[in-house]
Amino acid sequence: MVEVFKPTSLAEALRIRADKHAIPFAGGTDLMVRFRARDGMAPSFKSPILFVDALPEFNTIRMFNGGLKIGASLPLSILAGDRGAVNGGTGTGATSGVVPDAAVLATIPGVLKAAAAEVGAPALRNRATIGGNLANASPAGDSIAALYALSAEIILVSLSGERMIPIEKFILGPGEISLKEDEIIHTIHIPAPLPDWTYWRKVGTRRANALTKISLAAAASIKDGRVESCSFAFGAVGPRVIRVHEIESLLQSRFPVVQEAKLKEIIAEAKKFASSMITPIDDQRSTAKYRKTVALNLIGDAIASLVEELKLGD
Amino acid sequence: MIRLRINGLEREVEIPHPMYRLLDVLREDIGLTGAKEGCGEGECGACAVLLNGVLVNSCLIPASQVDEADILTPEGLAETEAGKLLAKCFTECHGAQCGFCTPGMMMAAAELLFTNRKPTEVEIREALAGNICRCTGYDMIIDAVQLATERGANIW
Ligand SMILES: Cc1cc2nc3c(=O)[nH]c(=O)nc-3n(C[C@H](O)[C@H](O)[C@H](O)COP(=O)(O)OP(=O)(O)OC[C@H]3O[C@@H](n4cnc5c(N)ncnc54)[C@H](O)[C@@H]3O)c2cc1C
Ligand code: FES
Ligand code: FES
Repeated sequence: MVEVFKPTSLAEALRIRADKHAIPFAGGTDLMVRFRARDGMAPSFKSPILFVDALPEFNTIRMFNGGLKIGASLPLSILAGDRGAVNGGTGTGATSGVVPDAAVLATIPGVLKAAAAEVGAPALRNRATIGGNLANASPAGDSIAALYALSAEIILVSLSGERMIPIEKFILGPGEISLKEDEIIHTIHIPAPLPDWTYWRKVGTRRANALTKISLAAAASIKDGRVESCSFAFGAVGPRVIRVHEIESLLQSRFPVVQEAKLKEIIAEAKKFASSMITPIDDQRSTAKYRKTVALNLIGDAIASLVEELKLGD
Repeated sequence: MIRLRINGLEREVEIPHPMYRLLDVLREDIGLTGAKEGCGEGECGACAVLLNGVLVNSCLIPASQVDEADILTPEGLAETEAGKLLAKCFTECHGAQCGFCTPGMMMAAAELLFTNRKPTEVEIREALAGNICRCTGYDMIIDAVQLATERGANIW
């Protein structure tokens, strides 16, 4: 019978992770489905289980040097703003009685908030955690595309210490991450400056519990009416999230643009870059042609929204 | 052995396996069959309960993970003013046909109204988005929750 561990301190959790190579288990919304057994049998886990939901520091969100530090077990419902304060005793995140600070919640970048809000449905978001979404490393993982756009850094801990790794290096491929057998995801760091403008659009078959066919997550910092830095990340169009750096430099060099003619030209150029970078596949959810068409339309929509923001700042 | 407070009663349950699901504890060990198994994969909401006051799908939760938690099942909800009102409104609006989804729908509706006394139609649809109904076409369920919102002004 599989062993389960429910550590109450990080030190204890790390020792169990190192000694037993136990699988971290947060909200279980991926793991319980992956190891689901048929015929009323208990889920068929082979390795020991390490519950990481109850570790208090894993359920926090706080400001850090103008950026944000998000604990790995923070449930998506809190990031989504489904609920602020909750009462309660034990369990994962939203069900754990942790009451995040409203002022901190207000600083969550719109792209992450919106991406979290479109994961599954309310009951799922109450359990599903950001660390679990990240570690699951699905190309369609919604918070992952947002974290790419925010240039997030992942803080991993083990008995031998801590290391920080950019999200692009952490995600290696579908379901594959740079996580050693003795490591646990501790925190997701969104570095300063938090963006002034963000964009999120997920296209799926229906509103709830729908796998993403394609998503675009974008963010920009604006200074004196110009784009100081920006990022555009497509989800679900390939084995990994794709950041189109050419579009980013294009926008940084060309703004401010207000005349419509100029805008059309820039959007056309951005689409050209996206077109060469994105090579989606056919699968049971969608065709490559559909995905590509939608991706290019989303680019146009996002750039138009960014221009609106620049005009407002004038 | 785990301990849960289920519908206000302290219960001790001997679980046969550490990853035994909360849904099975409720249905098989306690005999509370209000929460149903539709999909067993988090997609349908038929197994919804409140865990420490928060809506969850009990098919995705190992009971050992939530040792010591407070659980409200559809049976517990049915005993409350709020539950009685919801049942009445679902009946009047024809919000239940075969009834399989109804307990989960009511749990989701109750959680919504406990946290948002005057939800808009959009908010109601969003709150029930994880609950699948294959009979009603949803509109009659939305009507029922809207009616419960109006009638229950002093409950929620
Ligand atoms: C019905 C349904 C709908 C869904 N819809 C969406 C959707 O729209 N968008 C989307 O992106 N996802 C969706 N998902 C997938 C899932 O809910 C998310 O990936 C969720 O965020 C996973 O978090 P969790 O805490 O439940 O993970 P778990 O199941 O607990 O774990 C998932 C993985 O992460 C690892 N892990 C967890 N915590 C840590 C840690 N601290 N350190 C290292 N590894 C860790 C686990 O070992 C495991 O490999 C859906 C799932 C279901 C069942
Ligand atoms: S049975 Fe749990 S969500 Fe369908
Ligand atoms: S009433 Fe039959 S599934 Fe909803």
